[in-house]
Amino acid sequence: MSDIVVQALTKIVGKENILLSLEERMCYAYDGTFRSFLPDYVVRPACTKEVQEILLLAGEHGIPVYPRGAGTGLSGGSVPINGGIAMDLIRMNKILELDKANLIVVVEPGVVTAELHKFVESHGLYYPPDPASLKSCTIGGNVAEGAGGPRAIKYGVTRDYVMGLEVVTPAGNVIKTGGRTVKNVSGYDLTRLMVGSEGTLGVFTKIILKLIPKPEAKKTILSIYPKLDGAADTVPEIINRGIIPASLEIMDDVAINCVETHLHLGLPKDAEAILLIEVDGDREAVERQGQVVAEICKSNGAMEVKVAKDDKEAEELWVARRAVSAAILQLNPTKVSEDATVPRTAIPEMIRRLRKISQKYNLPLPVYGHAGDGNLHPNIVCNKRDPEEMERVEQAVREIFEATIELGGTLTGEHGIGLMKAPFVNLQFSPEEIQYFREIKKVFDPQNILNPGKIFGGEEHEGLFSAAKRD
Amino acid sequence: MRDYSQLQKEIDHCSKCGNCLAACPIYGELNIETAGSRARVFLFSQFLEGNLEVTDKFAEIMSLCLLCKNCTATCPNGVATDKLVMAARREVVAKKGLPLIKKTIFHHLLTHNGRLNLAARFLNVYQRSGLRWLARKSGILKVLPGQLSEKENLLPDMQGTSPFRKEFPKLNPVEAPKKKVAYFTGCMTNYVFQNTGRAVLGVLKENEVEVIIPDQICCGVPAEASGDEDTFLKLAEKNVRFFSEYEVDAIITDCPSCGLALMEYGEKLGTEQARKFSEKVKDITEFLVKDIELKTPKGSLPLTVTYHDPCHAIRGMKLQKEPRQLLKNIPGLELREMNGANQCCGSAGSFNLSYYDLSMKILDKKLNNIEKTEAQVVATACPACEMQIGHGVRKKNLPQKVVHPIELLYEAYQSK
Ligand SMILES: Cc1cc2nc3c(=O)[nH]c(=O)nc-3n(C[C@H](O)[C@H](O)[C@H](O)COP(=O)(O)OP(=O)(O)OC[C@H]3O[C@@H](n4cnc5c(N)ncnc54)[C@H](O)[C@@H]3O)c2cc1C
Ligand code: SF4
Ligand code: SF4
Repeated sequence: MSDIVVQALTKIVGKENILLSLEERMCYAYDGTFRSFLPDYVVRPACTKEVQEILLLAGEHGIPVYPRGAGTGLSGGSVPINGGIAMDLIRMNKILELDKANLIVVVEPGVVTAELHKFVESHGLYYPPDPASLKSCTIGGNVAEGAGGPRAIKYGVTRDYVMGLEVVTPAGNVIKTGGRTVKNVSGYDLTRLMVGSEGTLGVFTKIILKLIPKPEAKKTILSIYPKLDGAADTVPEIINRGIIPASLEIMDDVAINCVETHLHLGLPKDAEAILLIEVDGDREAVERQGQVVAEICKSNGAMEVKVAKDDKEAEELWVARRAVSAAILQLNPTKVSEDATVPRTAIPEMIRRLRKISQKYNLPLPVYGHAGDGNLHPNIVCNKRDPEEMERVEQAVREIFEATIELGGTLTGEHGIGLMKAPFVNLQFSPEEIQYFREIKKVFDPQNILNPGKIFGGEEHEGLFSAAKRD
Repeated sequence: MRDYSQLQKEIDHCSKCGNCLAACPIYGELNIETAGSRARVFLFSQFLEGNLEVTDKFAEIMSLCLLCKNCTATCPNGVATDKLVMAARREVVAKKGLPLIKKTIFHHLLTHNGRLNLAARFLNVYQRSGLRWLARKSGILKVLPGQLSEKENLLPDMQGTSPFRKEFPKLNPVEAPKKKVAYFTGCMTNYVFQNTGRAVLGVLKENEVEVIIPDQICCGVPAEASGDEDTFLKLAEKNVRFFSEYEVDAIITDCPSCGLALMEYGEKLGTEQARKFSEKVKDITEFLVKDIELKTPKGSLPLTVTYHDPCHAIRGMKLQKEPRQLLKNIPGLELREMNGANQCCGSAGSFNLSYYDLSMKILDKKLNNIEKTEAQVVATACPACEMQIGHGVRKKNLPQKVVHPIELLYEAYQSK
């Protein structure tokens, strides 16, 4: 901590918005992963100009800067692995403009995703991306991670809704990307480059988002299968019948058993899979589609199919799916959540391979996630206080990634590479490809001060899992 | 340091997912990570691991908690933040001692009924003699430091000239009693909301339940919430002793904070006697709708009523249906739900004194939701919430009356 830097930062954001005590800095050491690193300073800017001045100052002194939204990230994207400045962006939480005629909303990055949903829905509009963390996480974090959610299969992910950005680059320039038009091919598409850049290319200070009209109705169906294959066959058949569900969630037998022991919902413990399917649109179309989906489920050997009659029943059907992430912690306290994603049709094979990995390393590995888009959440349940076990976890994670790539998939569908997957990027990308990444990073951030130590593998990542015992 | 291995195990289940942030009223108001429940969990775990000492900052972060349990209710892993906050406050007291004012109150007032009675008498005289009127009119309150003048208004007019427990005998028999209960009145009913106590007795009598009001003393919550465990245990031990003199079907309370504390005596004192005591504790609303056949009033009470769920009732004693059922049992009464009925009103014991502005912001949300219902009455089964919401209603000049639901039932019984 340097006095000169403290003075300068205080001048930029004011005394209340710089936190220096150990206790307060500790609160910015973590995100939703199990690793944490202490920042030297926490600053909480309120506007673009302050963000810019902080970055200029950091550049001058060569201090790393770690942008942070709500800290719900699952890849360690915001944790200050090299100390320096944690830049908390949640004070910038204004909804700046709603343009109903052009179906556009302009927001600051610190707006909480659920607040945006509430706001636009109160105007009859819809912002579909719905990460499960939406009540806490921020739009800035969503854009930086390219967040998705159950609705991705029909409506796409955050990337599909970002039309333009105001970005402060690490060099301290304020640039605008994209714009307000659906069609826009002027220049390189820097907006797409920025989305999913995990806070390494620039700090977003304004975000222009596309909206759609709110669907009139929805129908929720829960289908329980004695065999995994029945569930697997259901998915393509629904789509081949011309129905794109608004969400299509899967839980495997380990996950089902955890939920049942946890909540006693009356789920059959010998079931191998559960699908939760939701269709939405016009009221009439939705009724019809709901029936077709239920029939498809039955013809694929479902032992039980429940169709919700109203919103309340729909909520009840979601209970099991929503409870999974908590229920699996009965097995052990630490959860290493992956979000390896494969093409839709490779899901059954992927689940089988995960079973084998679970047996090989003797680690519980419940699987659930978004069957509709191939985005699975295999969760290794372990104990971070057991270094030997954490080494096995690291090996298992590597094998999960290898299987994903073999099946034509990607390391991460929505959580980002960040810190936790950095040791594995070379599984998916060739040295040349990684070199291109590095060159791009250098163009924006020649001094490497913005979120250093992320995405690209390096020495600092050795023993990332077993090193957790030092936290 | 004491043995925290059990708590440590629970804390280990925190995945730092941040779900609780959205649920924490303090985070909602202050919009900063350090004010949220996740921060408290993480800092306490760092303290347990020896990476953090008890400092003023640590104490401050731990004091900024309403103990409202909203975080726990939304935590996918059931982490009980309120428990670890209390443990942290205990460590703060162990290291730094209690602030003088709290020490005076806990050690000299709460533990001695006589002194508390005397203090209440002074207050009563102050309120009734015109002194309060004079003080308010003359502007003398305005020269008090901080917002003492506004805080003075937190305390409503007392509903009796003497403590409730002096007003009634210990034994209140009925002919052919259907059940027999011991009534723990709590300090608020004893000194401020005597009407609640009168209603409890009246309603029980109407339902042919015999009531004993044993000797008793403060339940200890104010001390425990501030980290003064010694005082808490002393008070707990006394209450168990007093109540164990009587053989009853249930021990009833009209305050869920007291109720919850009494229910935990068994575990905290660890004696057989205390465990037996705790097993019998019930909220009055639960007792009435579950343990007896509650008589439906003959008269009707044509009122629109909205119900506020006290934190320690809904998330502590797990009472949601019971008070509503009690209200619905009243002919003519319309129960109109408000938005966010289960959200904290910001009272939280002495939190509203220590952090008045913050507490008022949290209260404002509640008041807005109350206003929207256009109900005539706010019912809430907790004297502390009643005091807080009553304060807000007076401050904002809202038309609503604020009462304990038992008072409405009593009124209905009387309007035959
Ligand atoms: C229980 C739980 C469920 C989840 N479910 C989902 C899910 O269904 N789908 C999904 O996609 N994700 C999910 N996530 C992951 C996480 O919520 C998302 O990645 C989210 O987008 C992170 O937002 P945040 O505001 O918390 O960002 P943070 O965690 O604070 O930061 C995430 C990244 O964004 C960067 N960043 C933040 N703000 C800015 C900004 N203004 N400018 C530039 N960079 C910035 C940070 O540097 C970091 O790299 C879940 C997480 C949890 C804990
Ligand atoms: S909701 Fe529970 S698990 Fe998640 S951060 Fe809060 S305390 Fe931890
Ligand atoms: S008990 Fe209430 S105030 Fe305290 S951390 Fe939990 S939600 Fe926040």
